[in-house]
Amino acid sequence: MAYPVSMRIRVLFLLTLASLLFSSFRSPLGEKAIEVDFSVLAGFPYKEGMSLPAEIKKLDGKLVRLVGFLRNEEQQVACHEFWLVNQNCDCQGGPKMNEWVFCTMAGDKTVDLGDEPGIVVGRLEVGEKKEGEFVLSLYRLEVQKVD
Amino acid sequence: MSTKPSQVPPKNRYMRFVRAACTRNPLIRVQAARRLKGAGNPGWEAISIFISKHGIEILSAELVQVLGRLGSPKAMIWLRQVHDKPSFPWPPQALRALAENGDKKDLPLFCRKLKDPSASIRLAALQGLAHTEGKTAIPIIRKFLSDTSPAVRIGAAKTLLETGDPMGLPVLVESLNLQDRVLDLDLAAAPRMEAHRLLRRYFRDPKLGQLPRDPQAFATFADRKIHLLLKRSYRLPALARGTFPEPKFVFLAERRSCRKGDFILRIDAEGSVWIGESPPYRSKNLDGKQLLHLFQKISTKPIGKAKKIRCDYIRIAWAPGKRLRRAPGDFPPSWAPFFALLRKWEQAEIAK
Repeated sequence: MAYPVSMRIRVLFLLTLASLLFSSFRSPLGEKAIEVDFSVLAGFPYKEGMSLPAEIKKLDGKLVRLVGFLRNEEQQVACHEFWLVNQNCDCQGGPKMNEWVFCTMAGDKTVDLGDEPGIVVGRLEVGEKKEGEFVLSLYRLEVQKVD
Repeated sequence: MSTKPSQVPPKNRYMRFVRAACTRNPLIRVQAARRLKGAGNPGWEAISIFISKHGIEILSAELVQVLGRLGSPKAMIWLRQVHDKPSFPWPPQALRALAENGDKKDLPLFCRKLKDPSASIRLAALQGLAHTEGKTAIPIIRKFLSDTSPAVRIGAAKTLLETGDPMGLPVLVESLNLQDRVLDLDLAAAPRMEAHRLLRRYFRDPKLGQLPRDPQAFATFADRKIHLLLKRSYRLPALARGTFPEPKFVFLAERRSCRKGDFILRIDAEGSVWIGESPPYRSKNLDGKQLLHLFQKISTKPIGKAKKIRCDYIRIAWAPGKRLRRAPGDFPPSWAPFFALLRKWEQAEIAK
């Protein structure tokens, strides 16, 4: 059965509109990661319960690229979760509360940890996650890639 | 017959913080340890009950560190007795806890530990000296700007800055360019990052504006600023040079231990053995081919679940991407001849 011309034009118009709408959304693959330094994440004196600086809050939900040392106290290989910190050894004092980023690998991915700094790219979540009276983490990263 | 409330022993209100200070989450450990500051003898009582139940091996670095801020003389006495015990897991943290107490009684201990073969112990001793003696310790701390370990050189510069002395700044600037590669490992990455972090903090001043983000641009900026600041007082110890001529290394055996000391050995493509780090020196007596021959007999296949690494570890690297890093004593018996030869060589180098 042949469709009327007006119907075909209407469908073509709707298809064109739909493709224009989709192309206006940025594809996650095309999003560029923001370079973030620990001097920013830890560049303020943090106290539990405080309102975080605007510079930090605006990083919430953003795709970021961070350099740091990967740590997991239980295992060194095939880690699904790890902490990213900005120092290798705690012999001069442990990292401060805002110098820890809790990282979770996307999907079933794992990573082997070493002694050297790694480059981690992922979506950052900013804000206190608490359990009882303690803050479990201030920064969390859903990791897409580790170099 | 019910027990009257007055007959029930009061629960130590610090006990839950002591338990939390030894938990798996590092942020909880930091917060719980902080809540023990100034707890005095009741805080120490809770900790000693915990130790008697679970042993000293379960203690966390954060809990040991806070002992210096408990405000309990009993805690200090205990630290002085226990820090050298083989089973005590955190010797550098114990030294730092004693350092924070600032008791001159501990000066002989800090002076003795300045000669320790472990970089982390020497660092903790430097901090102890600075806390106890203040500016009078500056001449001694300055000597450590030419320590054999880049971590100690940078730590000495940091300690000097904390006492108001800028003479360690040239070492920090030079450390921004530190190079030390073995196979695909960058042994200088951690000291470079630490120097970078310290200098960014030092230069953080709204009047200076935004600091350069590019590492090379920041290094140039820092170098210019420090030369302007120090002028003729600018001194860089020869050992603290960031780059040095290095051959192509094909093998690394590295031990970092706050109990047995640090020992870093590498073998170049010609079979020569190099000892130390940044810069290493070539040993004239040792034959690297002998060690490589022993190593080739060992199976380096995955050797089971690794024990938890705390402070001390051994790392072996033999090809790009091929390496093992495990706690000392966590290698199978087949590795025994290899470690025996390494131990023999280490003792020969110490005896020289």
